[in-house]
Amino acid sequence: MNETTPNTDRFRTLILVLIFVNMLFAVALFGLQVGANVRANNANRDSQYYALQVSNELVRLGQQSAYELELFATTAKDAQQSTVMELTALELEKNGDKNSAARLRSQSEVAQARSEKGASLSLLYSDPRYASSEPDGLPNLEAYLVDQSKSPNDLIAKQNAAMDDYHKWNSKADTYVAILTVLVIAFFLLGLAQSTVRIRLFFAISAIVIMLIGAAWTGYIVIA
Amino acid sequence: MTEKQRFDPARMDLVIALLIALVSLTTALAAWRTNVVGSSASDANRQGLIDSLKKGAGQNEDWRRVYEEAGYASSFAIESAAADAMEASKDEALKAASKNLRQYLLPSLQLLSEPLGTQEKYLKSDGTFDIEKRIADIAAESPDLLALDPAASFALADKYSSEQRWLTMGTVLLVISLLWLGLAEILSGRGRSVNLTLGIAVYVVGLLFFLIVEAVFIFGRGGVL
Repeated sequence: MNETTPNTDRFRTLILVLIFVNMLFAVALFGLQVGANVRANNANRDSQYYALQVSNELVRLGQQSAYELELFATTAKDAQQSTVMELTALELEKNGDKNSAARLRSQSEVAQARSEKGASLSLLYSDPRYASSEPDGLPNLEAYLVDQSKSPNDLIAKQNAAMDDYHKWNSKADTYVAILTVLVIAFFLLGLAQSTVRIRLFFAISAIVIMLIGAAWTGYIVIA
Repeated sequence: MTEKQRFDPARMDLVIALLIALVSLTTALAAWRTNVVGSSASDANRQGLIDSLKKGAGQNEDWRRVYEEAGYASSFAIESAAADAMEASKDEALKAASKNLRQYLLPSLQLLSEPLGTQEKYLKSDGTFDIEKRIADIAAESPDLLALDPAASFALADKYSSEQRWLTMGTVLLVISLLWLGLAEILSGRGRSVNLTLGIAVYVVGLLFFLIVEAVFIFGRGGVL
């Protein structure tokens, strides 16, 4: 009897220590859960912000492309019109109709003036990235379209990264809640071990096993 | 009062119960404050997103307006060049058409293209229009929209989130102290003294930690709670 009492006291002290360790573990886990939740919220916010940025950038590029391509189409049309008129004037001159040829030539000059002015206003004709190196060559539209899609693509990459971050941290936060629930079971078992005598060892060992599972699970989630 | 009377178990039961009540109240207040800070972080994030939407809508309208102006400005410039070419031609009919163009068409186009197509400051050295400069001027016409700063709201949200994390740690310390005080209440003898001392010590540390975190972050926000 005299030996049992100190053993019981020691066991109870051990259970108290385990309760305290479990409490500290739960507390640390709670801190991790709050941190993961905050990170998930921030990543979610960033992904929404980038999605808005992409949308705005697409609107801007749509306006810009519409303007540039319309100006390019007008300029190309005027240039072709000028060429056709000049060729027709040559034909008429050859056939002896000098008056009509002169009139057409004047109209060709007007179309040429339109075309040159249009080209001087257009990014596609003035920017060395897109302008043709040949005098009457067409601009490099492919390079222009590639450049146009660069900024939205960069923003989409950022948005995707933020979304991935959100999923990662949200999943961690959810898992921490699951582990906290497991620790509640350990608390329950430790409480039983504290209050019963007959199978207290079974409850204590079960609680320790559950705490170890929780610790291993937490370690895996923190590293992942 | 003798030493024995002071540490009378019944008396200690009452003292510890009162301490538990005090710590519970403090913990509840700390949990409330931590949640308020978390809500402030959410509010700042939401405000930042709302500002982004407003600003984006305003900017989209600015871009639409400036490219509409650019369309008219390029038409005006092209038709002006055409009128010049007509005037310079030998064809009398074109000369007459040029005169009419200048009288009837170009003034209307000029009005539509203002100010991008008419002001020197919007013309770049390479001959194209300075769209960026015009956009900046249009944006300056709406100071309310210009003043919206989503990044500032997000930075504020980050500060609140950081504070929330630290306050959570403080609240957790208060909860731990509650555990020790609970143990002190149910135990007796040396176990009670040890648990009571630990409970009070953790409570004081937790409370100080909480108050210091609050003070540091409130100071960092310029006094804003």
